Amino acid sequence: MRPDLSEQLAGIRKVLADVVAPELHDPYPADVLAGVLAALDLLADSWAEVPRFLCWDSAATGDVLRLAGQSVPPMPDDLLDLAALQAHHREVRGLLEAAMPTILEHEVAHAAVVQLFRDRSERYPLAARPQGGFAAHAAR
Amino acid sequence: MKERLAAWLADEVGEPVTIGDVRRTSAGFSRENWIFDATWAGARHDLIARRDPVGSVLETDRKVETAVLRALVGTGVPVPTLRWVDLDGTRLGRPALIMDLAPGTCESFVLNGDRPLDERVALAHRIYDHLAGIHLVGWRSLGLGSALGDPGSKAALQALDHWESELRRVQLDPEPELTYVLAWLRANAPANEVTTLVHGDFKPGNVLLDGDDVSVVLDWETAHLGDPHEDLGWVTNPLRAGEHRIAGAWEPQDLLDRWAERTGWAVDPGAVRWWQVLANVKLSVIVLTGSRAFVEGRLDRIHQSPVRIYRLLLDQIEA
Repeated sequence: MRPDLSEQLAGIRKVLADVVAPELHDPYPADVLAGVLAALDLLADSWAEVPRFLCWDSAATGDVLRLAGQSVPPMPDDLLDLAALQAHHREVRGLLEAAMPTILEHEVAHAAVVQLFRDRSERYPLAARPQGGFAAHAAR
Repeated sequence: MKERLAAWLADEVGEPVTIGDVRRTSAGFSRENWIFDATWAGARHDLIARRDPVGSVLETDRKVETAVLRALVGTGVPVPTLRWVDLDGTRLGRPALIMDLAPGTCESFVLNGDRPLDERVALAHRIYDHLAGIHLVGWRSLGLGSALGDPGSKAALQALDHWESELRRVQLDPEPELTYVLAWLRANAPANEVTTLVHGDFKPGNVLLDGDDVSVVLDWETAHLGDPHEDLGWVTNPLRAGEHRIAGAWEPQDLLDRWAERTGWAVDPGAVRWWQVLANVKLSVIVLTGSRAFVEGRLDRIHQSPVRIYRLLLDQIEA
């Protein structure tokens, strides 16, 4: 599958940077394009990590929910089905959000959810980098 | 845009108006800023039009900004001169206002720029003395209570309700980290002893510098009445240290000490901490607002999940 996804994303970024960016002389479109280039960089480097992260985060979130006595839906049968993986991930994150009052009253689950939040912030594959919009601007 | 501006201004001044160059600046994540020059009666005027965008990272009320700009004239707080307002969007397609283009430049990271250290510290004093000046404004005598609403001693809870409501309105996905932090905020909300005008987004990037002087304080769209500790938490937020601090020379404590000296009020460290946490909730919600607007095709900037802000929030509430 050459060019593979990372190569295609990196190539599109290069075309935009080499061909389009030099022709943009107004600050606003140039600034917008800079954000697009940063996003393409991030996607080219990190897209392959997304399924692995979704699997890990869903499983780890399920562990915290079970500690707090909550029931957890099973993982999708096909872990290569990205849409199913995303839907399951969204469901367990929703359950965690809804269970927060219970978790805060449960010492072990409380400690576990804080550790989960810390771990996932380290592992999250699409965290904004500098130049990529307001979040990156704020984080500089 | 040029034709619409010409028609609007001609109606306002009562004679034909010639519009020169019109260009949109890259500054501003919540408003479109269009700089242009206009000539009427033989005189050229440099102006700026601020128009609501199709999509924004921040939903704010143009009426509030207008009321504050008008009220602050003559108070000693330097604000842009407001010329005309179109609240219903008939002039430029969306709500907009036109102001004189104030002299000076916007330098978000000027406190850590190329100027000598003593000049940067002196500049910090001048910039943040304006924050104290904003807090000392006699908002009651200016009639701002009716326009902005007085939260009484519950400014913290009112702000918390507002930002939680905004989160629920804009979030595309569950955000349990923020739900966790909101619970901490609700359990620890301070009561405010004084109620002042709060800028809401005070920073070096929201002042114009004309040489070594602050010519105007900009971006009043988030101004409201509340606890002055809100602005103090905002400007001492560790996430924004690159904008507000000079390492070893203008630390958060220096800022707080000078503010207390200028206002005559004591700083409550617990309240500053609470408002710092809320500041980062607010930034997270602003990012999520941008994410929604991007996904819905209303914003041309990509906003990723604010997970790095979440990590800082955990550090802040467990400190």
